[in-house]
Amino acid sequence: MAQAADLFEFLCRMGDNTLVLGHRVSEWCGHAPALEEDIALANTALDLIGQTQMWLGLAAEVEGKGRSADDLAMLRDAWDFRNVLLVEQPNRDYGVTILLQYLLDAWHVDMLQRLGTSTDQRIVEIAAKSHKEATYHLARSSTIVTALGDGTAESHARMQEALDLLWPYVGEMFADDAVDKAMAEAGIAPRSSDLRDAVMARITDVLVEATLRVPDGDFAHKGGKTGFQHTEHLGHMLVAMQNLQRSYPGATW
Amino acid sequence: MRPDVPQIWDWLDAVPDPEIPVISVVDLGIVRNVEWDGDTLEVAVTPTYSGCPATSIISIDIETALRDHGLDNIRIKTQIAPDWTTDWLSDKGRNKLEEYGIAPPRAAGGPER
Repeated sequence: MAQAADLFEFLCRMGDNTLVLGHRVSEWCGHAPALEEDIALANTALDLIGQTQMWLGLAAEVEGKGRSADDLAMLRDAWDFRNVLLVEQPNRDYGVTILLQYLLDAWHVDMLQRLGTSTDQRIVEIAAKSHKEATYHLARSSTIVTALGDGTAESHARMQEALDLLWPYVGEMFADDAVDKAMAEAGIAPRSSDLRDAVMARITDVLVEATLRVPDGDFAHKGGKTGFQHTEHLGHMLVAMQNLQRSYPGATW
Repeated sequence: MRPDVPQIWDWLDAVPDPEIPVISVVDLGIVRNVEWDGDTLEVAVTPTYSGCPATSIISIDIETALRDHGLDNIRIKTQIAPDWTTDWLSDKGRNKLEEYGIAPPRAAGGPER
């Protein structure tokens, strides 16, 4: 039987990935390059925030200290977040945004599918609900990555630049630690490394179709999912995201 | 006196979906269960999409409608499984959507006419 502390940690990883990416995506609301994309981005962000409520809601329940999903989202500081470093990277241009979304989606769909056979029924239910949404996210992001990569000289160059920038953040999604081991032994979740081959094959196929050059080397920035060290971008994001609860503690409406 | 469960389903069938008010929350297929737990009425509601911003409005609308019918002890429970798809729309709901001018979702193959 897995320790509650390990399960809490795992659930925070799932929920913080969707929370941080959801917030990043929501930053585009009203600024997207086309109206259709503005709506798609806002809806994707909503899906991700909704998934966050489920994951962090369960995390809070497992923790049993009387905290809520909102408390975890709005009242923790950067060092307590457990998202991979990939999702906290700033949006920069639209190419970076959509490629980042794609890289996370490629992992997310497989992870959620595997969680569909978790020994924890609560996780099975959240994963089933989320998988349907993530499948749509992946269909959309992979289509746009391919269109922009195999598009004009300008869009191709920007996508290649985005890929070179984000590539060192891919490996962290497949890095194992003691929490992964505990989850796998309890049959709750796969090891992160179990997903590597299938997800990397999927990513490589799309990048080839997008005529993008996969960067050399497998160096990976790490420290997000373990909470060891986030990039400076997360703190800046939290300042905006948590502003209301920090300025008016306990505010409700 | 506790109203019986079919009566309560009828009342809920008069609560409009906030986004497309021509159909009810029952037509939409998001009311999953209605049952008495002692003196408390428990209504299980499922969200269409995880982050659907109308979810809390729907819960308030359901609670308000039931209070208007004289119920006091009401518990709204969120139930996420099985997950919602457009297959949960009732036939009545599909017809109302079509009359309203929205093509109802169908299985693959496109519109019938």
